[in-house]
Formats: sequence, C-alpha cells, structure tokens
Amino acid sequence: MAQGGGAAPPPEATRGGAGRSIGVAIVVVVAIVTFVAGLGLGYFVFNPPPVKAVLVVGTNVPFPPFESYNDTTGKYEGFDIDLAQLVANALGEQMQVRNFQDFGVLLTTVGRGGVDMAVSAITMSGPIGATRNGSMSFSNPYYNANQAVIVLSSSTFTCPNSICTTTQVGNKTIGVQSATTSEGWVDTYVTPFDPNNATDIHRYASVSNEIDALRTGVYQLMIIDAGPAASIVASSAGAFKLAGTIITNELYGFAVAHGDPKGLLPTINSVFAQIKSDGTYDQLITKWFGP
Amino acid sequence: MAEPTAAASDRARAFLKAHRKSFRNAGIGGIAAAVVFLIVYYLGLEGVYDLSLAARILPALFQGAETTLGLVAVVIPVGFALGFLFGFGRTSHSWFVRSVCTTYVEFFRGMPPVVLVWFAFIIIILLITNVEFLNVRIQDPFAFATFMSVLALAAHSGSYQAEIVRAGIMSVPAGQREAAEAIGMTRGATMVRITLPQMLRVSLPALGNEFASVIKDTSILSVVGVMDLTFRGQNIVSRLFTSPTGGSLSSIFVVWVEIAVLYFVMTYSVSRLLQWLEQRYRVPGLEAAQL
Repeated sequence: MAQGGGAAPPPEATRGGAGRSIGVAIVVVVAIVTFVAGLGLGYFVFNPPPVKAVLVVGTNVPFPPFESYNDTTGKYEGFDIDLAQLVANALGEQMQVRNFQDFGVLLTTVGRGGVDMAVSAITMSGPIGATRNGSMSFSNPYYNANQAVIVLSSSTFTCPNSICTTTQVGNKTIGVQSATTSEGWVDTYVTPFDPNNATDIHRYASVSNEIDALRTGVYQLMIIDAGPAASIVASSAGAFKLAGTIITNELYGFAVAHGDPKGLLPTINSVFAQIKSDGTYDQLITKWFGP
Repeated sequence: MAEPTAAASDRARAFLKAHRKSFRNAGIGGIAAAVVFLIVYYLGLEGVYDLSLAARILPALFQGAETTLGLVAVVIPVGFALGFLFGFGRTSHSWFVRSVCTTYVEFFRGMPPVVLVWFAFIIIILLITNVEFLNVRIQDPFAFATFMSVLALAAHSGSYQAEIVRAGIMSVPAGQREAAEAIGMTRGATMVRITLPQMLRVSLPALGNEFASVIKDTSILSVVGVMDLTFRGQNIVSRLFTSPTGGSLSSIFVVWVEIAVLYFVMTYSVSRLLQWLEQRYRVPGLEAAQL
C-alpha cells in the first residue's frame, strides 16, 4: 500500500468532506435558480406580446344585484357580469373575472390597462364621473341609478316623501363604501356644509363589512346605490328598511384603459345598442331587479 | 386457549400503560370538543340560529379551507427556506452577510402582515401597469399581484423563522464546535454533523408555534381577494342579506363559529403533529446537560 512515505496529507484531503459538498450543492442550486430565472426573463424579453385570448374583467363584490360571488356555483354573477359576458361573446374571447377587494385599486388598475374592462356599477356622470374620465375611458351608459338610505328596522329615521336630502342626513353617523359615488356624494354635499363636524362618516372597503357594521349598530345610516339597496333590504328578513332615496341620476358605464388603447369601446357600445333593441336588456333587468 | 388471551391482555395493558398520557390527553380533548359541540347544537335546537343553514354553508367553507391549505402549503415551505437561509446568515462571520440578513429580518418583522400583503399587491399592480414593457406582456397583473402577496406573507413568516433558526444555532454550546475543530472536522462538517441536528431539534417547538400561527395568518390574504376560508365566510355573510332566507346576527354567528372551528382543526392537527415530532426527536439528556 502506498502510504505516501508518511508525509503530511495534501491540503485538499483535509478540506474535503461535508464542507466541500455543501459548497458544491450551493453552486449547483444557484446555477439552477439562475438558469430557470434566465429562461423566465428570456420568455418576457424575446417573445412578442402574447395574442389576446382572454378578456380580463375586474370587479368588486359584493354589490348585488350588479355583481356578487355565488358560493353554490363558485362563479361570479349579476347584472354587470351578464352584460360583460355578452361583450366577451361579441369579442369571441373567454371572460376571466378578477375580484379586487378595494374599489379604488380596481379603478386605478383599469385606468392603466391592468384589466381589460372594469364592470362594477361604475358611475361615469357627475363630478365624480368627470374626475374618473380623466384617468379611464367609459362606454355608453347602461344604467341610471340613484342613491338610497338604509336603516335598521328599529330606527326612527325618516325622510319626507321618502326623498332624503342633506338636511336629513347631516349630523348623523353614516356608513359608505370607500371610493364610491356614495362616499363622493357625502363628501361633496354633506361634509363641506357641516362646520361643526357633527357628521360621523364610516368608510368601508367592502359592502359586506358595511352591512355587518350597520347590523351591529356601529353607525345609523347606510348610503349605497339604489339598486343594491333595494335588494339588500328586500332580503334582510325585516332587519333593514329603506328610509328613502337620494336623487342623484348617476349613469353607470363599463370602464376601460384611458384612451381605449385596445379598442374595446366600439364593441361594448354596439353590444349595448343591440341588446336594448332586441329585448335582451329588459330580460336581464327582470332577471336581476325583479319584475 | 387461556395462554394467548392472557398474552394479548398483557400486551394491551402494556400498550395502555405506555400511552397513558396520550389517552388521557385525547380524552380531555374529546370531552372539551363534545361540550362545545353540545352547547352550539343546543343553541341551534333552541332556534338561536338556523341548523339547516349551518349544514348548507359547509361545502363552500370546505372549499375555502382547501384554498387555505393550499396557501399553507406554499407559505410554510417558502417561509422555512427563507427563515433557514437568513437565520443561518445572521450567524455568519462576514459582516456583509450578517447585515443583509439582519435587514431582511428587521424589515419583514417590523410590519404587520396585513400591511405587507397590501403593499406587495399594490406595488406589483402599479409596477406592471406603469411599465409599458410589462403591461403589454402581462395580461393579468391581478394573478401576479396575488402571488406576490402570498410570497410577502411567506417572507413575513420567514423573518420570524430566521430568528428561531438563529437562536437554535446559537443554543449549541461553543465548546462542541471547538471540540469538533480539535478532532479535525471542517467548518462545513461541523455545521452538518454537530450544529444542525441539535439546532433543528431545539428549534422544533418554536417552529411548530410559528407554523400554527402561519395557518391563521393566511386569513390576511382575504384582504386582496384570495378566496380562502375567511373570504368565503365573509362572502356567505354578505349573501345571507341578499338571499330569500334573509340574514340576522345569529346567522352571522353560525358562519363565524364554523370558520373558527375549521381554523382550529387545522391549527390543532399541525401542533399535535409537531409535538409528536418534538418527542420523537428530542435531544436525549439535554435537560441534564443544561444543569
């Protein structure tokens, strides 16, 4: 056996073992990660932009009957969703619904083209609509809405002839959904004329939190678009009642990226025109808002 | 005839004796669960909430629980990998590695997970929609942003795990490392054969605690619209108000009780599993060594 004549072993021999294999393992892992990352980056850099096959639709649930998530079917449904499906059919594309938990984020995203189309009972008229028109483009209006006031059934709050104005709504605690026209109405017509800051406004990211808070008495008046208001009250099994309507004459439209770079608006508008003339629109109104 | 029976009963007695503690614990747990169940069931019989509702919403909640488990399956391994890497790095001799790892830990540990999750979501949406190059190539920024939120949660958990790993490594007495050096082990071999086996076993209780808490933390992802157990629960509550059966405080109660139970079952299973591992792999004689 050659024992090397009793000389000290070369340094490589003592520095072998687990220390070396760890080093090798780290190099291999880094190499693999870099390689895979490079592949991913290469895909983005060298491939041409993908051909569109899907219409990505952004929404914000729950806002019945315009949009909500059905636990039984596992699908998004509602008046807006049905209309969006018709648009997707006209474009010959699959529809992919994305639920943004924050309405404000949805509006920012659609304005910059992060989703192809936003369908979420978005008001396009009035002062709020004017602001929104600066950051996104709208289709023709497809719905004309007012605001409504919901209270607990036990509440004594009333409005003359069921028409509420700032006179009745001021000096109360009010719940609204953030970034909506309901919040805009309160901030435009109630807050500025309330020098003592007696009106307490609770802002909620989603309607479900807003409903929970009203039910548990966190605030007094819930201000929300009239369509969902009617449907929330009708099915609350007597827990809520409608105190009145706030006449705002808001128009809803589908929003697309600012300047419509993808050219979706002509198709959307032609779909709206067609369904209004062939009766589909009326059928959908009956389906979602009742006869 | 009598011989094997006696042997069997001896074996059974020995088995019972060996696992006496486990049986006692299982008994206590079972009784507690039964008492809670009976109270909740009694409230249902008394009409405090709707028993049929409790059964009806279960499929949707199970789907949500599946999503939650999926999130856990991503967050725990990614978090552990990050935690191990950065915790190991914090014990490094290089000031550069140490400072990078400390920055990571302090950054992700210093923010509430809900803020981190939102931050990751918004920043990806803004990045993709503002960079033209990405915007034309990524059709669905929502999916990217959601994935990044999950990773943010993993990074948050990773920062805690890094501290656990660091503490585990430091708990191994320096004398053992010196002894390993003295018998000619390399640094790598010392790490693999001496430090890591003890560190993993010492860290197991703390890691188990962190894993259990990660399961609950995944509920935070519902704020960006991930359809986990919490999101599905909130959605059911909001739909209760728009369904013909109507909603009331008691139906909200039953939804949240079921969510709580499902989270408890998941968390408890994991903590029992880790407790078993802890027993199985505890360092023999460690308690005596500390004295």
